[in-house]
Amino acid sequence: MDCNRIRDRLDEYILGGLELPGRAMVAMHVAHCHECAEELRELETLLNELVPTLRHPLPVDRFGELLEAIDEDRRRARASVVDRAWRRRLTQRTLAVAAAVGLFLLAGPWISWMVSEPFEDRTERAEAAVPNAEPSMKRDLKDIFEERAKLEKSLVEEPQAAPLQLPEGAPAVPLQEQDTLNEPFAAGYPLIVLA
Amino acid sequence: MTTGKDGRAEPTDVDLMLRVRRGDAEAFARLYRRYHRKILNFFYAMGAGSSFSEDLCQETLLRLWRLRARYEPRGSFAAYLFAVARYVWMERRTEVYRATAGRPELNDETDAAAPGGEPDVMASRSETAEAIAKAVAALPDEQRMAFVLRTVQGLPLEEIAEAMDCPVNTVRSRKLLAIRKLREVLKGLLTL
Repeated sequence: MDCNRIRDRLDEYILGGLELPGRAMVAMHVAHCHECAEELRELETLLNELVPTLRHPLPVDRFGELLEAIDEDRRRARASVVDRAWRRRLTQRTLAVAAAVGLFLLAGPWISWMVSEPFEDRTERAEAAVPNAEPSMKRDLKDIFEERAKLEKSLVEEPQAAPLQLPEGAPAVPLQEQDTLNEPFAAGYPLIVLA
Repeated sequence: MTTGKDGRAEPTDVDLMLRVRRGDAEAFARLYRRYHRKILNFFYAMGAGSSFSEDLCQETLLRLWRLRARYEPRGSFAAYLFAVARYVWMERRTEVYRATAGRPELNDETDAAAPGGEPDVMASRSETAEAIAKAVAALPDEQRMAFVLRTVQGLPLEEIAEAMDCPVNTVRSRKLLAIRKLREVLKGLLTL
């Protein structure tokens, strides 16, 4: 077999990383090839010198410290969970308040507009919003509005009632007594109830 | 389940990790004991130095705990864990390089822990260790990682490919390149 291929496997041969056929192949080769046998010896020396030097000289058991770190980690995780929950609640409340304020700000002008807008305008808009309504329904609505408008007009245009004039020769009754006469409940009703 | 040294049934890494996923701290402790040293060695071999590699190891295991809910038992657990370690390394390597001025932080404890009484022998060992650490640190990151995971950690090539998110042949070629470069650099020093 080619020496280069064998040399590439020498380290694995030393470290025990070859399967039985591979080990046998390398062993057979180095038994006959002096160069590869020398290479194997050198490599063995190198690894035997290197590996112990690369090991930590005095490993110390620090499991206690690790447990402390884990406990600290747990405490921090718990604190962050509480913190997160608190922050979430705060966010929810802030959002609720913001939504309420927003609703109020939006609804306020709408309500005032609804109150201030004349009834007819609203009805016209309602009619326009229902373009496919029955014509009879539209007619009825129109009649209602016309009647309402007439009524309002008559109320506005109705002349002020003339002040009451006492007929001539009527006895002059003080105002308080007039009220008492006109309002039976004012004086007589409690007596009637008692009777 | 696998059989342990004392003949008792031992849960596999995946079993333990599934328990960890449910928040079982005991299973996590067992995983820690199985893998703590390996991860520490990984970071140390990558050139993070003694104290930094401990920090990175802690961070890797902490991240394993934090990510436990996302764990899916697909493939090897070691590959999953080293993938986490790789991400930690990629995130923190700039910090490590800045702290060690781009050179591996050599540990004083290496010398203190090394057996052998002769001062010149100790000095020579220290020199060798320093040269090896420098040579490894000079490797490109991906080559170094492939080399470390294969030779220091002993992970199979397939698991390394999974951890490094690349094909097996790429891992093989990166590792071979790393070994060739190390041989070149350390040839005189190690009397190869």
